[in-house]
Amino acid sequence: MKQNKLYLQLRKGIREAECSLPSDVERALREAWERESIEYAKLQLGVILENVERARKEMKPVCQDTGLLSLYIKAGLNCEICGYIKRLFREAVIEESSKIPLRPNVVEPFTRVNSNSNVGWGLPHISVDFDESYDGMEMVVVPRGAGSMNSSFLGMFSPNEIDELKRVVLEHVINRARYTCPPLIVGIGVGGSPEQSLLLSELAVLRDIGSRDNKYGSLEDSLLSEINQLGIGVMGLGGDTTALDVHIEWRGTHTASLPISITLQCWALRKYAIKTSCGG
Amino acid sequence: MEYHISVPTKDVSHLKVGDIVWINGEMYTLRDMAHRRLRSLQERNIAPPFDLEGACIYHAGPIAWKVEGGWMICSIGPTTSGRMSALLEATLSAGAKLIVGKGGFEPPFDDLFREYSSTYLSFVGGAGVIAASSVVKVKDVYWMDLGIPEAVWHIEVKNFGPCIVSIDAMGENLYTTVHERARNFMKDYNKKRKV
Repeated sequence: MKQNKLYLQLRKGIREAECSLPSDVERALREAWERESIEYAKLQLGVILENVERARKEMKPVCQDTGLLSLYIKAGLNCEICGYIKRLFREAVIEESSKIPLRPNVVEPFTRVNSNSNVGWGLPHISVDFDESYDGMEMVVVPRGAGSMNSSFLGMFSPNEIDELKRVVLEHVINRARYTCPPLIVGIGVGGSPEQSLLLSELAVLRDIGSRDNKYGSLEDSLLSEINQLGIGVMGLGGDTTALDVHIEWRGTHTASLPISITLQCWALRKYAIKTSCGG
Repeated sequence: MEYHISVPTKDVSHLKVGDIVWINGEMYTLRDMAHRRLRSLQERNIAPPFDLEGACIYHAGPIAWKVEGGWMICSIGPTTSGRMSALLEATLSAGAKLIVGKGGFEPPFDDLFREYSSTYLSFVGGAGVIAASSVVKVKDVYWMDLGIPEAVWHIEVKNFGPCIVSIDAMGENLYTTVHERARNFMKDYNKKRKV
């Protein structure tokens, strides 16, 4: 009974994430359209907004690259986190892949043979973190397309290079933005361990648009303004808005290390959070 | 300028960077794996099962499902063309005149459009539902063993667009113009930081 409820919640989460762009992202796209001064950029933002609207109305995926589906779990108090979640998520992905339908994207990396089900060879991936201040459990369904994933970056810098952070981000945006379907949401991970760093940049992307880090919010603001001064614009064809927002997530790190990660998220930022009280 | 173009076509030299184009007629989708197979056939002088003379190639992989008597396309936005850089010549040398995708090509690959008198059109990445709404029917599908995204979909479209001419047959590349402007911003930025 509990498992069935969770399974249905996961299926709904996949459907909502794939077909309905979150309202904060849609609002930011609409504001970008309103203030855009370059003709091509405004034309393309108009197409994007129409696409978002039709996808929601017709319950079709927002983008044909329906991505790899991941689940980010935050386990708080009074929740039951258990091995079967992986199986239920896997079954939900298979079911929704044929129901919505989704594009079959998962292949074996060496032979490139397609599983035709969006699962297989260890996928889908689930990431778990714990939070004692949270009551219940939150599961965020996140489909990520290849255009966005192919522009992920992790660099292990020297501790005295923190002043290079902005330059590293700007250079990466210049080199990769056009391939990543801008306007972007730029997620930056600073500190932590190497594998944690990439996760931080991904979590940064998932924060609400407009939210600011308590300590480094002004750095987020100035990076956003500088990225938009690059003029790369919608789809890399020029325009006022290259990024809708910039978020930094940071953690403590080793005294001899400075990991910096960047996730360039395309405009089709898809996420859907499921809140449960007790693991079902 | 705004153009409505019928494909296949013989001549696209009138299209200039910045023009808006709507496509009518037939398109073939090709991405990484299909480019590799096409190239491998060409190396052995074997003709592919489809004719690319004057064709419009679309760098895309659809969401498609089988219905009675054929296929339905649910979503078909463009993929990143740059991945196909090293294999771009396989389609242009086979006679393709228009290539639709996103992200464009960097030098020196963009020069192939001048060499083959062809044109690159950008369509909005992610706008798969809008693109699918202009697909009239699936005429055929080749190389399904590569999987749904990588197979070659022969589709008929009506008013596919708006596409933006971003690399024209004269060798103009809108992406390069935008990229150089961003590079100049960085030059000034680095100078200011050194002061």
